[in-house]
Amino acid sequence: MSAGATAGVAPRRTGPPAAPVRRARRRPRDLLLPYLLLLPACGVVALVVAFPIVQSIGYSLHHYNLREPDNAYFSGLDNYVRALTDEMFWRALRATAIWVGAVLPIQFAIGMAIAVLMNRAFPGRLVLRASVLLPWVVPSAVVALLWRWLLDGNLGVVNDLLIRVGLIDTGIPWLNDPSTAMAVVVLAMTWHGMPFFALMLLAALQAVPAEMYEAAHLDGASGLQRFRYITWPSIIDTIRTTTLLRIIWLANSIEIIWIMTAGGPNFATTTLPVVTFFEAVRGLDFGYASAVSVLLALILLAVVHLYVRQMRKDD
Amino acid sequence: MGAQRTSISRRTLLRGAGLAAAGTALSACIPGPGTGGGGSSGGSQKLRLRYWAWVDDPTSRVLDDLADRFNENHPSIEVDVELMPASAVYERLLAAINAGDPPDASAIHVNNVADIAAMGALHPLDQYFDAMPDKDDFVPTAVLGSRLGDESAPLHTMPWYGLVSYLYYRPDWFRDAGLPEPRTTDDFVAACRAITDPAAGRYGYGLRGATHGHIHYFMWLASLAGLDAVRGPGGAPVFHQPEHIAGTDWFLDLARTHRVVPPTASGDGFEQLMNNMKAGVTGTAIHHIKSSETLVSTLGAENIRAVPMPVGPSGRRWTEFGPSMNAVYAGGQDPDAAWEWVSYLASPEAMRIFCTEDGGLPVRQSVGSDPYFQENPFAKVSIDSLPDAYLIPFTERPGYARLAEQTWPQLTQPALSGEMSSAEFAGRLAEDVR
Repeated sequence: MSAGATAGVAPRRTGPPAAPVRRARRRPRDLLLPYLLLLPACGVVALVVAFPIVQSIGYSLHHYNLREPDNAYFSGLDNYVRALTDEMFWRALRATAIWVGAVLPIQFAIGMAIAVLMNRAFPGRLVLRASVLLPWVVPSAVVALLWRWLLDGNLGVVNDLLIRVGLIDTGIPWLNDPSTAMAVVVLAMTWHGMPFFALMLLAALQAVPAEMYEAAHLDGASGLQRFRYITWPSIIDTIRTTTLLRIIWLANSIEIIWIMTAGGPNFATTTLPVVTFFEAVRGLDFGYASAVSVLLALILLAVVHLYVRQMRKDD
Repeated sequence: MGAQRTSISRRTLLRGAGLAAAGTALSACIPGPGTGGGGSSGGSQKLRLRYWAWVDDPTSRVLDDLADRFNENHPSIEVDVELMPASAVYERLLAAINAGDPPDASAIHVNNVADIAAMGALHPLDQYFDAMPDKDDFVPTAVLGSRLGDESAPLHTMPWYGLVSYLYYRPDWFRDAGLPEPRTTDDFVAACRAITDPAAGRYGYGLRGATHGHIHYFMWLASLAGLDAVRGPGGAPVFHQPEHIAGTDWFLDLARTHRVVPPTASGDGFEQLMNNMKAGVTGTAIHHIKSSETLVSTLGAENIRAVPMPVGPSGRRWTEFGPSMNAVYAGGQDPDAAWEWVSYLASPEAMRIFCTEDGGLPVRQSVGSDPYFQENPFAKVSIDSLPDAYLIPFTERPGYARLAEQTWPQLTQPALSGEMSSAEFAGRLAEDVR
């Protein structure tokens, strides 16, 4: 122990203090070099990130429908006014909040439970780790089709099983009833995204030094105390990062909802990305669709800002 | 003024981008020295025509085979067929036209013709069509479809094949219940009530509540009270009229009162309609000949039949004629060459091959009288229904896509469950196409 501690201490400098090192004057070419090296990456970012954002903002300020390309004109904030005065926008915003607010905590809780389980040594752990990954590697379109089939009101396996065990008499139209549609798309998304949390949290858990648990155990800490005072503080940064990323991904996701319910029934699962997709791809109204997507981006920026500020405060 | 300047610069920019992209693509296609291209064979340059289309079976090579036949007989033209899903053809067309780089020709659905024509992207075909010696061989409804139902309009597209909707039913179920085949709307409702048994998971009618199900709704309305109950003289919707509301009541009552549709009806689209018929969940459904093969192969020829749409109380029958056609684009390389190709597709030989393979109905009388089509019971019902088959109204209106793909599928759930009144349902639908 002492040897290790000694080894970690830097040897004290003896003798007269060294003269301050004069920084050599750098030639302009040397000063420019780092920027030149960064230039290609900046160019790529500008091309694939900045340009589409600027273009979207530009579109959002125009009346621009692909059906009438000769009738494109600058319309100022008209598209934003239209969105903010449209009841559908607010319904979709509510649905987006419900969607993110339901999927995120459930995915996190299940992911955390799986990560804690997989962090223990037990027979078959490797098989479990591999199988937990499965929902994540399946493309989201396939996940949506799979759940749509499972939950089909007439021919789905779920209804069939429930009827066989006597819980229901006739099939439930899970995807066609506004009171169940959001719940089942949340279920499908939870299943699909849960491995992300499980794997990220497992990686964080494995980075926690075992000595800390041993010391806490010797000090008589209970399992709950060890989790609260060692595990949680050690993985909190990972939790913050993963939840932040997930909020953004969920708020922008569309495939599962679109394929399973297309935003229905009666707009029960119409989130803001569904509105944007419909207006752009079906309505071909790029101006309005861009305005809705810019509004969603602004809302997300505000959420992220609040989240990061809270994180800093907690630190 | 400012607005105009913006539009011109945007269009110019898009066109430039499209040309740049096309230029890059084309430059990649130009063979270099020693690659055995056209340059080495006496300097004759083949015109490569781009043709976009869809087929029901994505593994089908029928269009490639037709292109090969055409190319063999046209040494100066080479048609490149690019297959994609039907919806993708329309979406890509809009992008390509906006970028100033449309294909030379494409298949196009009647629902999309008005949009593309309004953009000025179609090359009118009257001059070519009028010069055809056998133009009278085409079914008049199909030619009218290419004029979007207006005799005085230009021939926007070349007729290719058509689809006529009718009613499929399960003869075994009807026989067991002692029912005749449904000839009238009253027969239909009575039969649906008789064969429905929710406890056994059986329902009388496969109602299409998902996207494009409004077509069937219009068909029922027009059969019950005539097209005047759907569309007014100026082409505007008349969904507030008592006849329309009564028809809407009749339609929604299939779920609200008679309960002869599956509880999933509001979300059932084409896929569910077919699966429900094949799995024995529903006893009747509206569709066209293209689904006959899969239904027969699953249920057996003796357990699936078709009849024309049932006749309403006034003795009227109304069904959908859905023409598929080929368009020639004004911005293409050579509209004359593109016409050669689309007129070949509409030739008796090519039409017979395509319709036999892909399952559509020929729109040439000479091909329709072919024994293959006359002996096919589903083709026969389609042909028998032709006198009562019309284009679906409102397809020329900008809000039609919203009606078909958003308002209809979203509102069928509250309407069929009785949470929304018939008048409100009809009124909300009318808003899109008013």
